[in-house]
Amino acid sequence: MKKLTRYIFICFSVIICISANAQNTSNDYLSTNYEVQFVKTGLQGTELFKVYSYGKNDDQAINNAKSDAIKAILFKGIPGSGTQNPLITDFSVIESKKDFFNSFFENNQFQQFISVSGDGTVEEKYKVGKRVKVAVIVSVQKDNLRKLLEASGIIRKLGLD
Amino acid sequence: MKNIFITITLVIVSTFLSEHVFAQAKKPTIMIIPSSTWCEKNKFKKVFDNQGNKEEVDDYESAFNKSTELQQVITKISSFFRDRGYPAERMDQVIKDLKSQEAEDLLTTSKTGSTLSESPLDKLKKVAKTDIIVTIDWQIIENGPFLQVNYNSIGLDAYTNKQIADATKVGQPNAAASVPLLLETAVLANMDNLLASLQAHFDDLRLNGREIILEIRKFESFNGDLETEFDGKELNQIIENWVSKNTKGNSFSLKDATESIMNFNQVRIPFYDENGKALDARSWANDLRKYLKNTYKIDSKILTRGLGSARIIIGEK
Repeated sequence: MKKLTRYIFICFSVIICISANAQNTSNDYLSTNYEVQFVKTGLQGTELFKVYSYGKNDDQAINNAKSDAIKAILFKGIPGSGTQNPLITDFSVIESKKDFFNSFFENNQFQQFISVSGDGTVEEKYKVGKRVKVAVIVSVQKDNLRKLLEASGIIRKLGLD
Repeated sequence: MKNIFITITLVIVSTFLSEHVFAQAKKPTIMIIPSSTWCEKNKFKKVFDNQGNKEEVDDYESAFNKSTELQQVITKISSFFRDRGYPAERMDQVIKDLKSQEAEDLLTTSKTGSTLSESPLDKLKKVAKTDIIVTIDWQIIENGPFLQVNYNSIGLDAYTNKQIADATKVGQPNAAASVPLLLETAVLANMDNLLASLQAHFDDLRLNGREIILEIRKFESFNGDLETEFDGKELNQIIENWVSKNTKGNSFSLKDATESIMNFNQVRIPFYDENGKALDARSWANDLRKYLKNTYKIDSKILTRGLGSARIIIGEK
């Protein structure tokens, strides 16, 4: 019995540990646990944003910042930017195209469309409890992202069809 | 054997062509023009004789020929539309078409008879057969060594002149960039929001149909009025029933109805007829004209203003 209790305790510990380390890219696409500010319009099809995100350490927070910026463009819209309205307005696709979103976020496909500006320097950093909150400037290839969404049937192309 | 081969080839080719043509016919068209405010600021205006009244209207031809900045901005915006699979109508080409059509109309005025007075923009829309007009306006603001662009673009439904999309932004001050570069950046920063609101309009068109205005009048020579009965029904009731049957979701509003006039607005007509051909106010109202002629032997004449307003005058052809 004591052995079984220890086994269960270890299992729970492992699960909690994995959850704590997991990136902020699970199924919670509509979460608002981040802030995104428009910085400027870049070269054709790109925009620069300043993203504040959380993580267990700097690296994880920076990675979360990248996926959070993409989520903001897809599901929230960013005031002052060229994406004031989110690219996705019909949120039912989150369920109906679950495979796409799983692959896009969990397999890091979104990384193709975003990069941390400059040498990846953290602009600002705060300690929030046991986590860190960082601010980084990211560049998003918005046009290419939209094209992927159109080709995958997530959003419609411009027009009536 | 040879005949079978030729027949099969012809069927395949014609199927491909019809699908191709049909697909093309399905796209609403877009034209980009400078706004009235921009024309005013840059002195591109001309006097237009509106049935005796002198009016100042926008001189698009002169603006397009003389302003390099306008050409540059329109070309840039057009490239966005092209990139999204939506080639915009070229304004300079439309102006050329308009001029040749006006020359033809001068020769045939005596045959075509009276028409409703149309502004140069109405004529431009009619020739371009455009669905959406995007007007652009910008202003360069100088603040010491810094330059800023105040850019404004508005999408209008060519049928109703209602505003359906907009994107406005004041660019960041810049001391190094040239005016053309600032303008290009302003277009870049605004296009996505404009296109997003256009898409919302397309979604509305798809669901609810295109909006037009229909007016019914009668010639003095008509023996009767809109309350005269035909087969036990008043003429205005016959017309209202037809409109109800032929609108998408029976969506229309009968604003005024007397014995001599009927004014319908917010009439939502299907975007395409059963052959996939785009419907406008004239073609849709022409079906009503034919219905009155074929069913009740009533002659009528159609006059149109732009693409989205039709007037049927009962009593003569």
